[in-house]
Amino acid sequence: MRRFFKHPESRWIAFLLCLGLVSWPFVGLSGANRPLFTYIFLFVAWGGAVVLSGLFSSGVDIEDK
Amino acid sequence: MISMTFILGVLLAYIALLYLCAFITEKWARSGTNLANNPLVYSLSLAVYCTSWTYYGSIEMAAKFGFLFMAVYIGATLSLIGAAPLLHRLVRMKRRYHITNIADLISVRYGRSELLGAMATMGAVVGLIPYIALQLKSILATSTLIAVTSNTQADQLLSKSLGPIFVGTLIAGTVLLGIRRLDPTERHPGLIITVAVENVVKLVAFLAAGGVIVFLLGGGLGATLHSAGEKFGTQIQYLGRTTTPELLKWLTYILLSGSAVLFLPRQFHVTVVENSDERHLKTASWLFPSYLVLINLFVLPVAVTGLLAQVPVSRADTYLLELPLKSGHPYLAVLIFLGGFSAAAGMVIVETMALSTMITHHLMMPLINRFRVLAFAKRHMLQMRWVAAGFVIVAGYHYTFTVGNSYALVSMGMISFAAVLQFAPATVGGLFWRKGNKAGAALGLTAGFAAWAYMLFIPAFIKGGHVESALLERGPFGLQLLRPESFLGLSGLDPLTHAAFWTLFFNVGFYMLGSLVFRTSAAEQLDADNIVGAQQGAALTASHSKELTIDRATKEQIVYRTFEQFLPPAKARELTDRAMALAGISSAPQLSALELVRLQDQAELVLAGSIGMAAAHVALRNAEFITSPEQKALSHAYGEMLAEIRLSPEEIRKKIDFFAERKEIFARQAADLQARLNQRDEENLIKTVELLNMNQQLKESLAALREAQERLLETSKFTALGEMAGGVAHEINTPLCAIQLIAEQLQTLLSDEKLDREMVAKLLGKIVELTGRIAAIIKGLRMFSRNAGMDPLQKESVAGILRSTLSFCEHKFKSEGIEVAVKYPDESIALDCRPTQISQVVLNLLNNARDAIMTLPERWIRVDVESGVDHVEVSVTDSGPGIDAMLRAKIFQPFFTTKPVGLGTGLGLSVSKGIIESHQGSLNLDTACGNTRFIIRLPRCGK
Repeated sequence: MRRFFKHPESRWIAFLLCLGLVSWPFVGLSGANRPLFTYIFLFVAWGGAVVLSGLFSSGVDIEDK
Repeated sequence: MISMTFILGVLLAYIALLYLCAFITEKWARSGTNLANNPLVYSLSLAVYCTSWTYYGSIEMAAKFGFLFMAVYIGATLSLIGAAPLLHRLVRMKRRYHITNIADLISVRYGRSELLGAMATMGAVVGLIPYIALQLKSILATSTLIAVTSNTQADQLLSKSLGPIFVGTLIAGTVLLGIRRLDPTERHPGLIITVAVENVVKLVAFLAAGGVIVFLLGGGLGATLHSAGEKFGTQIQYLGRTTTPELLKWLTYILLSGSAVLFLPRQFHVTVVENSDERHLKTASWLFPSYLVLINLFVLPVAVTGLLAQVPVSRADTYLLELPLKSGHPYLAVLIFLGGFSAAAGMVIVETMALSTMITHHLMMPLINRFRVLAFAKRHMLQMRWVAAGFVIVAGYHYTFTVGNSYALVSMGMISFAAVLQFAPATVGGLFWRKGNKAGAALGLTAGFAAWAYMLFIPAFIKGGHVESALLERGPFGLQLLRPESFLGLSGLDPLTHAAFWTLFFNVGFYMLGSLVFRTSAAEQLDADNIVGAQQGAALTASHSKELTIDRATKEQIVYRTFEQFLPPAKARELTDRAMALAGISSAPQLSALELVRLQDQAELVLAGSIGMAAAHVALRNAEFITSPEQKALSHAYGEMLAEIRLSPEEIRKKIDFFAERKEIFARQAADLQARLNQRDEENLIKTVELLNMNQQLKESLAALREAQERLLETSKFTALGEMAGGVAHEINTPLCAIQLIAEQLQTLLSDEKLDREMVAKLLGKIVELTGRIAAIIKGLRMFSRNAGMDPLQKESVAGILRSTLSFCEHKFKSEGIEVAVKYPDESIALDCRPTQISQVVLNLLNNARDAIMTLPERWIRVDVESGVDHVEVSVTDSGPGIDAMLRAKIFQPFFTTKPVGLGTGLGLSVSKGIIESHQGSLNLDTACGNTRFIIRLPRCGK
């Protein structure tokens, strides 16, 4: 997994995955009377994106001053 | 209710507290303890992204468009996933080029262009002053909402003066916290700590308000959202499945917020310019988006609670304040007001500071450089920045008054984000595409901002009722195809989505077209190569800078005079010295042409911190830093370099690309290898632990084995004793019989009265001799049976040891028809040994010899002793034919025996060998002898 987070291309896979995930309630989840479910889904997906952001940042090489 | 005086009093106290934090932080930073220089404060300061538009406006958006507000923050999070390497690169560029804002970045990349810097600044000012106005409006509106203006003179006066008071406070705050020094590349720990504290206050206030509204006033989170579905599910968009245009709008919001979090001037300032350590970006990558998640938790539930309470949706942006006020929580309302003020003030101060730097560097400086009449202003750069800051805030305030509560103001948040999006092609393209050039960037920015103004900015004014609506309805000159919100017939889209598409289309299209059609100048190409290839560009100076013909003092004077145009003399001298030191020529009396170029570069960089890169470039060019002859010498030096390396500039560029690519590949491979090494280390660690466990088990097994071996040793010894028991009994029995016979003889003599004194004495003497012999045998047995392993070494004659040993078995052997011949040595030949152990070895050899020859017709055993200078050899030879060659290698192995099962332990020889070796001796089979012969070789006593 550490190698995955090091690859620059992996970022874009994760980006697209997260974009698809947070947009999914407006594409694939029917029912206007289910805002509670959508609310939970969106925040959980968003939380996952935050975790991914942190994991990817750990793979960035820091340049000395 | 709360009076205006009280509200303003609380606000002033809060502001005083913030200034105190800033003052203490600045003071500590000067003494070496910088509170702002840590990842937590840095990450919190990034939350300046959340303005009063987040604080109040998100609730309005949620009340009207359901979950759509989340896209503004989710977009920022996704941007951090995709664009984190870009942020790292910007931080490195800031360190190298002294970049202070987004216009500086664009200017530096495209040949230090004044034009592009000015265009970017104009776009930012036009796009963001309405956004600042939005913040001012929120402060004014909320303060009048929560405070009741009484009829007292003070309240009346305060109520009328609110606007100027807030404007003055914000201008003072901007100047005190952000524009006290001239060099904007210097970090502002006081400002950053203040912004971080404000961001904590607004988060706490929002969560407190959201908790009270949702859980106390509403029916809880689940019930509220359930009601939302039931009552508003079909009325409010984005609560469920959406149409395609609505989905596109969602994606557009994500795109715009993703670019805003990178390129908004205030975000650029806190993220890039105020970054003191690149590693802080790693913490910010999860902490800042976590903040965004938290501050949005209650937005939709609060909006739904307000709607359920039947507060009109037109007042949705005030739900956060109105609901607590109506339910009797005035002090919570004060906290909410402080949170809202924090959100607005933080944004206004940082944005104004960034815009004021852009205005002075990219609008004022070019004018001052161009018109001599304005030259006096060069010495008043700091004051000019204060004026620019004042202008920005006052313009925002004026905008609030002029445009008021119309569409043009409330929709300005996303319209400003769309303006900022126009920086993206020139910036991203400039950092990653070497062919991007000034002409392309100028065309792209022009087209992008023009399309933005035409499709979003002007329509906002039309919808607000400030401009005739004909343009929106019929298009310019009645050309329907050119209508701003359905350009070229593209209709059915939300205006923002429509504008985002067209602005990007024109911006990117013209940027690429212009870059490919128009030529790139050599100087610009050099900047492009440096920035895109991230080359350091210092490698070619070594061998070609030998001709020292330029006077250093003259050039230093030019640098100083140039600096002095903009800075006080002391500061100009300090920066001149810094430039000389950075160029590495502080003490050289003469300079070469290439050293001169290096000095020019460093002087530009140092001055850029105060007036911007483009203006610094122009200032040094105007100072004629490099004269015409020097230019020729420089051309000559470069010509020599190119001739020597025999490559055209294009070929050099290709090679640099090639090696840069190789470097990147190697870096990746190194990272992979490092990861594998780490993995291998982990595996090795596990194996080491396993080995340690096994080692421990092995030690335990070894200890058990030693114990067993000792037991076997004892067993072997007692086996030998058992084997000689018969002989020993006979040895004792013989003297006993003799004693019995003597005793009977004495009885007979006594009864016959023939006993004479001489005979009695003779017989008694015989008895004493015989009992002495028995005592000696028993003593030997006792010694033999005890464990002698730990006995100290003692001097013992070889003859004594042999006698003692043979006393156990000699008689038995003779009774079995074995002839025993012992050649006793002189008593002086002695050993340092444990006699019992040596005796045990000899006895083992004798027993083995006896077993081996029992079936032979000729049976004899011979014990010989030979003494050398430093050793003694005891050999035991029997009449056997020797040991089979196949068995010789095995006879000393433990448990090896040729005797029938049950008759031998197989330990005798191996134990004997061990005993002799523990005496520094050796036990060997004499293979040269025709019989079976074992030789014990031991060091002599004292040797």
